Amino acid sequence: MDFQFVVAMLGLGALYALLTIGVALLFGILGLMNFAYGEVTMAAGFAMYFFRDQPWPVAVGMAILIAVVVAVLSEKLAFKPLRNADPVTLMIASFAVSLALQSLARMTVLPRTEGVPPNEFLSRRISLLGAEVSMLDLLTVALCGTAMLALAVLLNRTTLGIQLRAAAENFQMARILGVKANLVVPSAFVITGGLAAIGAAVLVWRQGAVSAEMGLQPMLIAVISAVVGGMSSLRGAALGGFLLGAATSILEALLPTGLIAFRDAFLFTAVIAVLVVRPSGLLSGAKVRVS
Amino acid sequence: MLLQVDNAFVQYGTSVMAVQGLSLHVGEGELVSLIGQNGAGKSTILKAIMGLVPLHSGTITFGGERVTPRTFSTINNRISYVPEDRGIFASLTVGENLKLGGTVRKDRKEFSKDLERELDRFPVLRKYWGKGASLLSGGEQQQLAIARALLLRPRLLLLDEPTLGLAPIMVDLIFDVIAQLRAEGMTILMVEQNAVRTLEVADRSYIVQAPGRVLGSGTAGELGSIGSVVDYLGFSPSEIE
Amino acid sequence: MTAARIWRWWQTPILLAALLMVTAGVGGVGGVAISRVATLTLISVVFVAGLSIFSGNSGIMSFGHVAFMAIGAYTTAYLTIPTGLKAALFSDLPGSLRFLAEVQTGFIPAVIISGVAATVLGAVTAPVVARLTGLQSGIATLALLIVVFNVLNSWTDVTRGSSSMIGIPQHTTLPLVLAIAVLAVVVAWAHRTSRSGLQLQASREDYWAATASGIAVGRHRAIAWFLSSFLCGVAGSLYAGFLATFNVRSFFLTATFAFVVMVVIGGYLSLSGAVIGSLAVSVLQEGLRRLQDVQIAGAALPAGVADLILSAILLVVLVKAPYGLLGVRELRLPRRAGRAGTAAPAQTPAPEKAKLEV
Repeated sequence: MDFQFVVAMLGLGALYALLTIGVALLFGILGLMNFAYGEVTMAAGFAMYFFRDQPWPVAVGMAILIAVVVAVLSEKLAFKPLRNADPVTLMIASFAVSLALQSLARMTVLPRTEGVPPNEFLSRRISLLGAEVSMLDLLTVALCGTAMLALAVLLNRTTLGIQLRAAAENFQMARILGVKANLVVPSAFVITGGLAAIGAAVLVWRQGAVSAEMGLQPMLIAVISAVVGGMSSLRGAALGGFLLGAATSILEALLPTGLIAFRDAFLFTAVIAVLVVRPSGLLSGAKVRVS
Repeated sequence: MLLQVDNAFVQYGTSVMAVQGLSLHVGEGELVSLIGQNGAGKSTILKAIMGLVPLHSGTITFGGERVTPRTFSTINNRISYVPEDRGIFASLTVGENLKLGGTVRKDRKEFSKDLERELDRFPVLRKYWGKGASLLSGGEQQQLAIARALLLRPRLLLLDEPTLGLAPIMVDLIFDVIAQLRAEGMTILMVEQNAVRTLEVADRSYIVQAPGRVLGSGTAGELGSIGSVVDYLGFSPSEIE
Repeated sequence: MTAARIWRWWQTPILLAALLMVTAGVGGVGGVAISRVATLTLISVVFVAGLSIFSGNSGIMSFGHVAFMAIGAYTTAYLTIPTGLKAALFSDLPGSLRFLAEVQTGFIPAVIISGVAATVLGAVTAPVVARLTGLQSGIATLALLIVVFNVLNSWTDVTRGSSSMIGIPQHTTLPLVLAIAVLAVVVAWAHRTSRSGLQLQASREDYWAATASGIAVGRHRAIAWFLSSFLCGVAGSLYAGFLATFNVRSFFLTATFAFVVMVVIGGYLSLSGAVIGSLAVSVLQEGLRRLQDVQIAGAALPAGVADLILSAILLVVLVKAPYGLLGVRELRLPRRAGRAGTAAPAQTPAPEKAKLEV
């Protein structure tokens, strides 16, 4: 394995881990397996398209803003009335929210696939440790890594973070102690919105296009890695996401050309196998734990 | 009267009426206990006060205000509750658990003082401050739960089976703490199965029989003169004092 | 068995069959467009009856059943497309599969073989479903859907990949699909009231209590999964035999979502709920499609309005009646013969907590 491949693998792993954490956080706190997460990514992707002529940090900033707004609105309009519903009902509701947001996007801003021209800066390659590494891969690792680090600090070092983790473990007890549902739930949606947006930025750079359906892939990745990781902790989620990303890179490198098209079949068969061998996920715990 | 429960009925599911017509009251500064066997409906009434299970009929008032899950805030009325499973956040550290006790407190300085006082009361919590709460033993978790509940500066402390499943030495420790809190003037309503120890420490007790009916109430001395209570307990409470 | 007992068992399937006949009747007297909607509706009833065998009894939502439908559709395409056309369509078949270009069966055998082909996938995956519970099971079925989709979409030599399958003879008629839909409902009902079905429902209400009572939950789940894969394969076959052409994209998340909406709105824990839900949603979808085509002030409503309204309705149903319109009730006549003839849900109270899993 050369260094270039390692960076690319780390990049995809970090991206998937980031996406997965967003889904796992909401699941921990609300029991919500959020299929509409993909559409939050799509909203951020649209922002990346809309601000494509701005410097990339501006576009990413706007993507975060829009994703957060969409995530919080979806909570207010759809999930709040269902706060005491069971996980299945919530998941099906998120299915509906996902379809609604996708239809809305198709009706208004994204009727067809739009290209986002690759940024000159991102397509540069630089020499690092004797290998030609693409700027995009480096930035992916840096951006996703920073976001995850920031989340770790937020969760472990701030009052809100403690409340979020407590709510994720035992919402009722947290409320008895005075943790406000109307604070932690929207906060969790804000955080997932931010994570989704950073993930979306990286995705748009890699794919060079946005469309109303673009949320599907990141949503599937996040939901599936979260379950593979164990749903027991954000660490498990990050691990599940990272492994799925790394496995994707490795399969792409190792599979013979004729079989590359079947990458997803191999990957998701492996997912089923992992679930059969470890039904409660890789990092399983007795309780739903965050951190 | 700080807390008054009148003719409360609580239903679980569609068929089981776990509490049928229970009435009790707790005065300011009183330590009141509910004693009875498993399934007598003691814990259920605490949950009803906390709004965790809805009342089927009857009333609960706290400080003159009607307790209903919709409008009544146990937090604003400073009611602390230590559930039977203690409600410790296993994925948080001991310190983080304690900080959660001060979630709604605005007076940071006073809170720090209270925190110091509880850490003095429960030295083991200071020792394990940065450790994961899941590493604590049952008795230590109970201390953490009580300390955390006290950090709300409660007007009423609800304790559900605080010594259940603990080692004898821990049972002694918890009862010592409860006696200490009583001496400090804390108002406490506790549920216990350990009748002897509870009658020793409580001002008044209610003997509760399934399904949530009061067999008799009063001080240990008064309970001793109620025949059915003596029969139910198998000893006379008046011998305790 | 006394007449009363026979009637008690048969009344739900008979009432549902009556509903299906009404649907077919409307399709029969209506124009081409109506007939088409009625046929597709009845095909979705076959699918939903299959899905209900698994999800309704086990309480586990499956996102993978559309994969069985796909297998059924592709099998039917292979068995019924005339050999001449097949030789042209699949000129690159790998050697070991060359025989597929030669086989040719009638439609009814094709329907049955399609169901069997789907059960092959069902049998392979049954151990997985038997072992998994809750969210994990939901995700595993989703992964199954993705695997099947990926293979169908990428194995171009055999499946034509993302190009449409064409030239399937149109054999699915309204009477045929009605007969199969009624059969599917009876099969689903027979399973639901069988020992295995009842034990599975017990595990849905309380998994651990059922396990502790000696119920082999995994085995009953596998049986239901196996049976449901057959009906869904049949539905896929009918679908292919009706449209004459289909694309692999018809068997992915959009279709999955459509079926989920049907069973959830009706109430996926009961067979009647699933069937009535599929009828109601089909009518609704057609209405919305027509609404979308209506010209308002010269401009058509933008595409997507139908989906938007459908998801809004689903959300409202979820908030107001989380277990769907029927909950766990089945279609029965009222006990007293006061208003005999009007089908009304029996007044069985919903269980205090129907335990649901993904």
